Amino acid sequence: MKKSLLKNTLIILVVSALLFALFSLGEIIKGSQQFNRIYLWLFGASILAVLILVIIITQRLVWLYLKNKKKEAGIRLTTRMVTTFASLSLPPVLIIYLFSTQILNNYIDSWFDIKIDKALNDSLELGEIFLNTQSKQALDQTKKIASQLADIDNPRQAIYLEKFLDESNATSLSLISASEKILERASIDILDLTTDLPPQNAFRDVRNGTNFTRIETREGSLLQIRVLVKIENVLRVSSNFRYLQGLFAIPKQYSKLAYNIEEAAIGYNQQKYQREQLKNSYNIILALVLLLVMLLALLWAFSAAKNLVAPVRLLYKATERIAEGDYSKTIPVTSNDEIGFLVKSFNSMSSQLAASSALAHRAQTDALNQQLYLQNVLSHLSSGVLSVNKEQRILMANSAALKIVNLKSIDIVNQNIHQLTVKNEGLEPLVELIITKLNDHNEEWQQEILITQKDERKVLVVRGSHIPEQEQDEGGIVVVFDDQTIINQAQRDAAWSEVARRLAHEVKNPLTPIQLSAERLRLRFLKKLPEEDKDVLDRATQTIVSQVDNLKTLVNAFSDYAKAPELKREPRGLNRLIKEAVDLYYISHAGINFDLVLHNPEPTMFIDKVRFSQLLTNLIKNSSESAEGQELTIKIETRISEQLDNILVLRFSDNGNGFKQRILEHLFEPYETTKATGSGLGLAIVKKIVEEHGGNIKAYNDALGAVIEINLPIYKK
Amino acid sequence: MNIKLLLTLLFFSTLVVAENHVIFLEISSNETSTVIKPQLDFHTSAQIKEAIDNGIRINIIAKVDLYEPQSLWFNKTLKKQKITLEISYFSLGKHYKIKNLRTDEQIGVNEYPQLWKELEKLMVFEFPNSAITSKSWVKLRIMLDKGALPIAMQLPVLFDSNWDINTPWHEQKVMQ
Repeated sequence: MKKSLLKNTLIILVVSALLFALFSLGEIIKGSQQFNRIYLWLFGASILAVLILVIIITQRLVWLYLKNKKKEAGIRLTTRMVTTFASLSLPPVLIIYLFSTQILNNYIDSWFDIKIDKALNDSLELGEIFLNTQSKQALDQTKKIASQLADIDNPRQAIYLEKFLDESNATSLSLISASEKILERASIDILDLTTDLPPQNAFRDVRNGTNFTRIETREGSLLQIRVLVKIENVLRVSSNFRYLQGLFAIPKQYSKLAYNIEEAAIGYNQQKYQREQLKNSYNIILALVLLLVMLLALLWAFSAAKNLVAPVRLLYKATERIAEGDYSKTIPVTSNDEIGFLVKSFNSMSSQLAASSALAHRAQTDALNQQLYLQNVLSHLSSGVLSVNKEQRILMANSAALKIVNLKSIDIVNQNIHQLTVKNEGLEPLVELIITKLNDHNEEWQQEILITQKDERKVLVVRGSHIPEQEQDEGGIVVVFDDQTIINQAQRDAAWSEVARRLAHEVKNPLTPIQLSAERLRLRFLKKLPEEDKDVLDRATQTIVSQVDNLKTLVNAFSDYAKAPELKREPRGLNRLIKEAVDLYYISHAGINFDLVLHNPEPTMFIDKVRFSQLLTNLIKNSSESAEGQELTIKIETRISEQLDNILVLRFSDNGNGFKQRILEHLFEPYETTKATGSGLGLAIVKKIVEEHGGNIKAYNDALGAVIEINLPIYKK
Repeated sequence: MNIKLLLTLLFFSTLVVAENHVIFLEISSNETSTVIKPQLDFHTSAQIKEAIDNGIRINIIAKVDLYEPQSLWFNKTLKKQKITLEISYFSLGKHYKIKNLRTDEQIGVNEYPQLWKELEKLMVFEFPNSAITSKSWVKLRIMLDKGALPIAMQLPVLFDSNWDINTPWHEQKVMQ
């Protein structure tokens, strides 16, 4: 505010000084002699003031340019207004300037009328004729006196000088030596003791035989005639000649008239001579005035544009802030005109928008919270949920769904449903089912399907429901599916356990009496029977005992599978157990090579030593039995899981024949074996031990042979 | 007037300045004072003659400084004098007048070229001997008083080399 006041004061001062200077210049040119010496200073001051204004305008133009470049709010409107104001004010000013210069030039030209010119010249000529007549008379008189003096010898000439003065109209007579020094003088005015000499050229002219007469001014406006003639040395008394100078006063009334004519002629000639310069001077002053008006118009244009645009700029900025969602800005109302009304209306609109926005924001927040809540609920569901629209595009998939189909969100959300098949062919049953149900109009449906992922098969129970078009654009379905594989497996495991338990219970009890009875029969009748029957009895009882042993082994195995022994878990490493199991087996099966790659330092596991020894033995036994004649290498390795650092991966692999594809699916179920002598419970027990320890197991074939991979949790204190 | 033209005029005006100069200062002493009279090599343009013939009065200023040079500082000025001579044309008498504006002493000259030679006669400077020392120097210059010209002429004359008749300073030791 203070800076602006200072700037405006400076501009007002500069403009005032310039106006004063221009006014003074106009006055001075009119002819005030006393201001002659300040003219150039005033002119310089005017130029300086104009320059200051030009600098101020330039600074504002530069400011306008820079703001335009930055595309600041309201600057384009300011530029347009400045241009409009300037272009509106310039033409009239230019027209006035052109007319003024034209009128001024014509006016100055009108001073120099040819009639006045002639009248003045005629007057001057008349005066000259009169003065020439007077000069001639004076010359004649002086020559007459000179001729009379020539007859008088030099020493007496001075005596006659007074006499001749009285007889003539001269006011002064002087005798001048050849060396141009005054010898004697006689004057009417007795107080006038000095007489100046004629100019050098006068003596030269007279010496050359030309008489000298000249009209001179004396005492201001009075005129006199100076005459110089040579006094011939008739008597030849002296070798030197003398000059006679006579001064003749022009009568006062004629002098004044002649002088006035002279002054008028001089004045007129001066003006005539300065005609163009005068025009130029006035034109320059007019140009300065024009420049001043133009600059003031520009300044005013800037000021007016700034004042007019200021509230518009505020409105623009406030609108921008509203667009950004900030409704807090209130524009001060500074005027009672239309702009003030506009600002008031804007403020009112802004506050109404703020209220509406708050409501909308609250509703949006509520909706968002609900959406987040829904997403949260969905993400905590163990069931997979997919939402598919009529265009077969997946709109939503929760984390359980992604986990079940083993894909990432980016792979399926907002993708066509067929993208699932592209990513994983095993998902085709699910995709087909969803597409089929999309085209059906059943409100709700449920179906069990089987999908495969790598070597894993999953049983999914899929339920679906149609979403009406009024609830979602173009409708669609929501699909909920659960992985039933584990449940089915658990149910099968429980069933098998029950079977094993019943089998062990029902079969084991009669085995011992059968075995004892067979042995008693053998002991009692072997020695009594004839040789041919003895042999039959011996073989039959041997077979019974042997088969009972086999049955006992089988029953014990089922019993082991069925019972759920109390685990005696303790923190310990696996490496030693693995080495012991390998050593034990290596001694009895020298043809099998073992390759151990054990993680070192070994992680601590929380395991039942006995159960784990059984697990290791079963796995080694399973691998060793897979080879048919060829040299077998069993590789056992332990490592920390790459995905989870609290999981130890125990991997058994061999170069045997691998698992047959048909049993791979039910590999860990009891009685799944390809071996003639096996009970089919080895891997089932292994799986049970793993699950008892909180781990999981999977089996697959690689390029060499069979692979069994067990994930076990690492013990944390 | 654009800048180029202004600079050109200023450049040529410096060339013209070099034309006029003071040839010599005639210094004579009597018992009480020292008289200094300049001898000039002075020329003027046809434009100046035209102005005088049209009744324009022209003032010529002769400035004289009596000073003592200082080795490491500005000169020490002892005395200053200035004579202003007004040149005009008296059309009734058909001659030019040179008038000393201070003393009203005037001389008339019939021919224009002689006018400038006659200037010397009125340029007589007298300094008391008491003001002069053995180290005294005198410098003199002649210049046109542009401020005394009619106002309409002042601005054009300012940038017109034809009107630049000033001489440079002529310096001379008082006691040879």
